[in-house]
Amino acid sequence: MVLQSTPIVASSRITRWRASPKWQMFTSSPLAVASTAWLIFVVVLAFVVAPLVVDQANHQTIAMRFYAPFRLDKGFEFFLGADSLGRPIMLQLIVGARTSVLIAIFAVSISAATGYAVGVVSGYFGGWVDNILLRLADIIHTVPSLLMALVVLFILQPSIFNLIIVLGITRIPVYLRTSRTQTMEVRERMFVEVSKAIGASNWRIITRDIAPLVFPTIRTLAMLEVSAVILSAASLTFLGIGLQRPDVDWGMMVSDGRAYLKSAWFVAVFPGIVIVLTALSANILSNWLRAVEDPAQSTLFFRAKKKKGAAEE
Amino acid sequence: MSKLLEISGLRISFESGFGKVDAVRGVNLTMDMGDAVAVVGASGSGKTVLGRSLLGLVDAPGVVRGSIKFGGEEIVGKSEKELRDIRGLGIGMVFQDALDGLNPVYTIGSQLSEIFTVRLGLSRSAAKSRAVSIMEQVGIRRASERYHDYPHQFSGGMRQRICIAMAIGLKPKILIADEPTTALDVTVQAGILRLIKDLQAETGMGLIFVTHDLAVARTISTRIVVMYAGQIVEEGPTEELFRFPKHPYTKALLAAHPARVRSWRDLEPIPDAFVTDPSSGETTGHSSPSIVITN
Repeated sequence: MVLQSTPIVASSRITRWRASPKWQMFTSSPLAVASTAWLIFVVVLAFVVAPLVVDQANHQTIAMRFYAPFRLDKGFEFFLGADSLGRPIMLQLIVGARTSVLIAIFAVSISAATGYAVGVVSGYFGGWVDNILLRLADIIHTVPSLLMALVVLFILQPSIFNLIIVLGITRIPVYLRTSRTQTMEVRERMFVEVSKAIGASNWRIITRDIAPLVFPTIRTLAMLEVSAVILSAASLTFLGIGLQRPDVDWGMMVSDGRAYLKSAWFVAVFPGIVIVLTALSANILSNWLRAVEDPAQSTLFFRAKKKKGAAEE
Repeated sequence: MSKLLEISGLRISFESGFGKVDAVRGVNLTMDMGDAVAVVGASGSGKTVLGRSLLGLVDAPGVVRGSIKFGGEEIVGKSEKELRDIRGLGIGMVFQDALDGLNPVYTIGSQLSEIFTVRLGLSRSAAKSRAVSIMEQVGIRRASERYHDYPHQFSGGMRQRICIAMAIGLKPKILIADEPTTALDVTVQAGILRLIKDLQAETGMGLIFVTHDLAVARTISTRIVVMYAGQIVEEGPTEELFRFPKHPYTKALLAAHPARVRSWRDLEPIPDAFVTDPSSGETTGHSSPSIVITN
């Protein structure tokens, strides 16, 4: 009896892991699918559709000023209304997506990658290097990032590239502190000691034992920062040293629309909604990834799904 | 021919904000292949840090002086890089906290086989078969299936078995076991002890078993070293020491052990003198007690 049942258990275990459980987990989570779909949609709009509609998007028709949304009589492009200069909001959103996505991706990547790497290394080794880096982070942190961006962009030319660099650098301390603190915690755990005792090098311990445990936190933080970066870019634009027309991003549209909030709400609200949706999708996705990548949580998740499936049968 | 391990005049001290604390004060110890030495003593007697010093794992504020010769090679003062060659390959170590001894984000198999690919330069498939065979050796049933499991799917005892597998995987000449069974319950403990004993008999490696449990020490060792306040106060063959303890502290320890008495009324608590005045063994005039043993 026992001998017979063992292979059955065994084979089901193996197929369970071979059938790419992560994909199954993904498809069984509607929120994860929806947020991925939205992010892909935005990226496609930004990099495929946007170049085709730039001219139309920037075409000003004074007669169409504050044309109200949800009407199709002036054509589909005016479905979301028109702004203060009669530019179609829908097309502006599409063109703005390109800038916003570019700024968000690059600024967040620069700061997250730098902060993560430096934080893990300085947290692991400690000592005076760690101290200097931390004070440096303190300095960056204490100077209001907006002020710093203001000065730098004032001296340099306000351009998308400079905007990315400035936003990237001012956001480093957030990641640096987080990854450093977590590294110091992980460093003291027993498996690091065990690795050391079998002769693992520092580099190996950092990359194999510590960094993977810090990464999910950094990724979650980075996803949260996406919206923060888009909004910072917007405030710089609002102060007049961010993007310059004809460049446009979502933040700029929100700040443009702010003045007309009473008379034409849609000018500010639509880009606002788009920012919120994008940030939310990024957060949901990162949360889901975190749950799936943690072996303990993912098994639990899978077991729960399995039980549910069994009950339905 | 030099001994496998020769420790002489070993002193380990920690510099703290309140002054210097001597954890180990002049320890001499030698052992050969096949020896099983149990180091017993109360918390804070310096036995753990003694074990760690053999691998050069005494961290920053700790200072190691004296001499530790492993196969005639001096360990004290070696650089991290040179120490790495000894760790694992020469001396393996099993730690107390088995539950956290494995990285939660990798499978058991990948952690085990990584040792072989990195340290011995084996191919992936060779490392895998080696890992599976060592899992079987430490008593994991259906090892090739469990190879793909994560640490959280293993019980505490099994995790400690894997930690032992990692420590002996590179066939070290000495295995240091630092209270490897303290975190486990008694039945599991017996299994682990038998495993370590069997492995030692099989491979002929030297064993240093650090414990505060006299019963465990008696089961596993051929020789016992009693540590008290950073010094070895008594040393001898296990059975002899249990039958004819010489040093008052050893006598007191044995008298306090429940296995020796019929009723709890016969238990002798450790005399206060040993608890409050740990510097009694040393005559160099340390004014303040360097280690305070509580309870």
